[in-house]
Amino acid sequence: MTDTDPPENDPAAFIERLAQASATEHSALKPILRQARIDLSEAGWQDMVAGFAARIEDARSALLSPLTGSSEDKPNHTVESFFGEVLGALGLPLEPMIGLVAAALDERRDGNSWTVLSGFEQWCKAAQGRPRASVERIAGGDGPAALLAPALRAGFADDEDWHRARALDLLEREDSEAAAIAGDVLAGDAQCPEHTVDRVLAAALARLPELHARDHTRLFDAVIGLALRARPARMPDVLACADGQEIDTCRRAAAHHLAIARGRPDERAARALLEFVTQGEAIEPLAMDLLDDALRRWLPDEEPAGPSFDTLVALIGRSDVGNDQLDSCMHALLRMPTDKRDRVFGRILVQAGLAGADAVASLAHRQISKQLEPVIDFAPYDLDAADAEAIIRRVTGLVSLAPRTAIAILLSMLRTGPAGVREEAEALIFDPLLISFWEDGRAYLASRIDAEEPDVKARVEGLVARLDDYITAVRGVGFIDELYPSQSNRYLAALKRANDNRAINKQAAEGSIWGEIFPMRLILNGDSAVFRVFDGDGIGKRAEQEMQAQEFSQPLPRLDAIDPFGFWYRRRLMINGRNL
Amino acid sequence: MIDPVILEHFRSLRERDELDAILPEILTGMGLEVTSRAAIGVRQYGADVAAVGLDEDGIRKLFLFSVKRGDLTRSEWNGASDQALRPSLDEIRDAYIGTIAPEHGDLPVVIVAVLGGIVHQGVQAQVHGYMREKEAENPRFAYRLWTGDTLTTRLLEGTLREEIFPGSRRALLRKTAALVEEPPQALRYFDTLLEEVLGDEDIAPSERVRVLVIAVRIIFSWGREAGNLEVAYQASEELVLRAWPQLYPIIEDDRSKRQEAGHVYWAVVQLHRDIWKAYVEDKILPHAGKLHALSFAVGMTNPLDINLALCDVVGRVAVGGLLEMWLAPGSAALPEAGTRAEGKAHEIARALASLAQTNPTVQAPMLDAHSSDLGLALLLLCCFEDTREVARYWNRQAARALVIAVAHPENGPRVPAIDPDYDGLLRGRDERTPAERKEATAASTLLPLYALVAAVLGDGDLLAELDAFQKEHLAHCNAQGWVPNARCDDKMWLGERLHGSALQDLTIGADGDELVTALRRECEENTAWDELSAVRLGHWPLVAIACRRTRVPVPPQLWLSLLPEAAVPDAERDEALAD
Repeated sequence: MTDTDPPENDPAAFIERLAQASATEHSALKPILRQARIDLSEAGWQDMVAGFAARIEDARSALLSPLTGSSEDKPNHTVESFFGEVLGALGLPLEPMIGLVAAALDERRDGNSWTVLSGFEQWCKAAQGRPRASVERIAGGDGPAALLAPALRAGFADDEDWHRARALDLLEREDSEAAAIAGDVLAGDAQCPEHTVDRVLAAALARLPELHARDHTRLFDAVIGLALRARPARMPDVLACADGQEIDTCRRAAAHHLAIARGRPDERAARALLEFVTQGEAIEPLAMDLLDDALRRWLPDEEPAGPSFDTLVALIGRSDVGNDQLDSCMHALLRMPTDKRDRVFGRILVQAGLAGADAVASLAHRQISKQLEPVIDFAPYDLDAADAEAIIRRVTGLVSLAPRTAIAILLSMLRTGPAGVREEAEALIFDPLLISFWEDGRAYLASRIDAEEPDVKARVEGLVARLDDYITAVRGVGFIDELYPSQSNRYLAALKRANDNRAINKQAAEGSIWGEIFPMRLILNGDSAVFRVFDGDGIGKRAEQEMQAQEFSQPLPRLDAIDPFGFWYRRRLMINGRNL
Repeated sequence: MIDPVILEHFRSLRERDELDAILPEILTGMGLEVTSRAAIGVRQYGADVAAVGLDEDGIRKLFLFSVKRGDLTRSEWNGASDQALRPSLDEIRDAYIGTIAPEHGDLPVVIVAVLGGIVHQGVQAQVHGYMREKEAENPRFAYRLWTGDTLTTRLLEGTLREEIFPGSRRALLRKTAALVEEPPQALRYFDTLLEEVLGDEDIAPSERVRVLVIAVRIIFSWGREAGNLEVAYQASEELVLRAWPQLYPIIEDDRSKRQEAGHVYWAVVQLHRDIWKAYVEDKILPHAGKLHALSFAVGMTNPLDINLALCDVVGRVAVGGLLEMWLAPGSAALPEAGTRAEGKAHEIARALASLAQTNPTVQAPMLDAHSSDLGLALLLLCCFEDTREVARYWNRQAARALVIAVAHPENGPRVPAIDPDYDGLLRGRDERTPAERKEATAASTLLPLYALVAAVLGDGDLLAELDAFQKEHLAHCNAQGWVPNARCDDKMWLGERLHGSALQDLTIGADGDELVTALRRECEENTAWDELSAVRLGHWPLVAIACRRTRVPVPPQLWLSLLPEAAVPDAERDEALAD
């Protein structure tokens, strides 16, 4: 820095640099602004904005070229925000201002124009009379309709009654674009008086059927928000106005309001919205994502018989909705208190059919390192034997890697299900579950013995004894050397295993978040590594880091090894609710 | 120097009858004529083996042998056991002498106490004292004591003498015996020994086989000590086949040597049965009814290893059953339905039925070549009324596994591999694209087997299912069986991989008629079957053993008497019966 350079935290210096860059080199704006954000206080930043705006005397100023000039570069948030603020601070009269903003909008796509619109809104607010003049001019066709919304919103702060009345008038009588924009502004006005709310709602419902495409969805979206906030009972009327041609967009809008609603919405409105969103053969992925997020927030405060759970169970049961699309809800389920979670499991298993069992399996397999042990009361569902059989078969077929979970569910059915299913539940616990997972399965059953009523206790004890007999028989035979594969075959198998492990380790390392954060060093020998820590003084200090091993193992079903086809085939049958 | 491998063999013999079995071969090798062999269950008056020949002093004598296993202790010398040695020696002198043939009545008698091991020091004085006392009582009787050392010496001076069994062959035997726990390496040495001995033109064929019988017996005892009979089993199975072309020309054409050759071949078969018993009957079948026990006994967690091992085992069990069926008095010329549900063959069939149910991996073979093992097993089960239902179930399950594997290639079970290469099998399915699937199913011996068994069992539903499956999914597949041809006698006993003829392009037909007709026609027109030495001489189980060993399908001729005249679907048959 030379003596003549301004100090780094001087707004004037930044104004100078910005003016130069705006006129000549737009790509330099971003680093200058970033530096200004770091060096200047908030007041200093405002001074910089005001000072830059003061240098602009008319709409054709070269300083505005980043706003109105075309560019191949991707819009930059910092630069766009700055010029939005500059727009709000300009002292231009109405006509050139509208021309300037229109030119800026022409250069931007819808999603990138909000800084400009916001700047225009600020400009309107900056002087009394500007909003009204702007509204009249734009409504008269002398300016882009998009400017109507910021002008009206600025007007609510300037002359509330006139602007609200004008907006209503626009909604009721103007062409579709202006009506949709006016309706959007009115519906979003949280200060709107009660009597006006009804009028806005009535006008919107009257106009909606005649609006189409973008105008329709804009107004529809806005009115859902208004109804949800102020008139939940009218929600069905609003939803009835959905345009069949734009139904996906309408549903997405409805799901969006569910997702962004603060707190839990009115139950009637929520039910209507959930029903509306989930109508149709397939739910659009974005709408499903929003719905999943909304339900996730409501589930913890609701009883398992509540409407959100109704929706969740219905969604799980739908063929077009995968478990991965309900990821947030599934996570919420796993974080619930155990008894509530188990009641939900019961609902899902009974009411969501095969997909329900699949969802429970998906949850069970997420918790593989600490398996779930649900205790489900099936009695309230008054199941008949056939339905109960189908449930336990599906669970056995699908929850194939979490034996404790599968056995816990079957034991629940043994305990509280219909009498006609008990024999099969017992048989399935033994084969395939216990004989596939000796240790885990037995440990869980043994832990349950004292907790069970006499009848179930006797069955559990019988199962444990039967498993012990089975294991004793198998271990009694031991290994028969003649059946052991030859050394060459064992070598080939070991070679393949080593290759498989190498591939798995490589994939794991590539997919590891640690690998992205920390540099990887290969250690060839030892159980610790020595390195030196430099503290900036001298030769550095010796440090030794002991290596840590993180291991995870999951027992695989034994039947998969000793009867691969039979196990596969039987699982297929059981997943479809049948058995051999 | 006494060969430690052979000495250890004698010392380790656990059963008396094993010593009984090898003793005649030793005596024959010494130049004695064996006149009587041990027969369990028959009262022997103390003598297990009798032989006539020149003694070391050049005088022709009658030798009477009383055999005891292992070492001789005080209790085994004169204890309470009915196998105690002293009472047997007394019995020979008192009773056996009265049963000897008149032509040997005037010969001096040598009573020999034969032990696999040694005489314990504590009882030596009593044994020698007893012998001296008895020789003094009657000079016509001389007493001798043969220990394991003596037997080894006799063997090495007789059957395994230097000119027949030189150092190089002894080395091969030693290596085979020492490596019984690593079968592939051990069998490589054994094969070399086999080739050398059987190809030795300086030794008579019967002598060649006798040498190998003793060699395999030695391998057997070593295998048993090591707890692994795989080498012994395979060696004896190979010997059963390789000895046949050595001996059948003599049995068939040489009147003077027919009996000796017959004896030697019987010793081969008996050896194989002994080993089969020690392995299959004693180690496998007792666990056949225990759920999954044998599958776990493979000691691996890889489904492929378990499947390969167990499918191989069912073939071995079946061969043992078929062999016993053939040996049973009054047995039919070929396997047939309605075989009397009694005897050892029936016991084996029932155990095999249990094994197939408790080890379900055998219901879905992963290798097409296992059609030989499966075919033999199903053949045995189809012969007995009370195991046919298991055969039907097994056949249905296996057929279903094939159908699902081919029809649902995405995530179902693997298609039984045509290529038996283990590395390829290990790498798994290679049938993801239609072209790969077509290649993987270009040929099948399992499909016609399942259809054949369904026809034998009158399983019309399965026949219809397989017929539709073949037409829809396996029209490109060369479904094939195997039949012998005129060159078989030169090849199949030698273990050559390519022998006989592929009976190809077999189609099933809705009720199995097309298949049954094709098989019947082939049986009628194929003249090689009747000309096959084993069939000509009534030894059809050799064909079964050869099929298992060379992994070719069981020929339709063995199924012939079980085949229906014309396959009739269940429904039609039921209607006919109702009418």
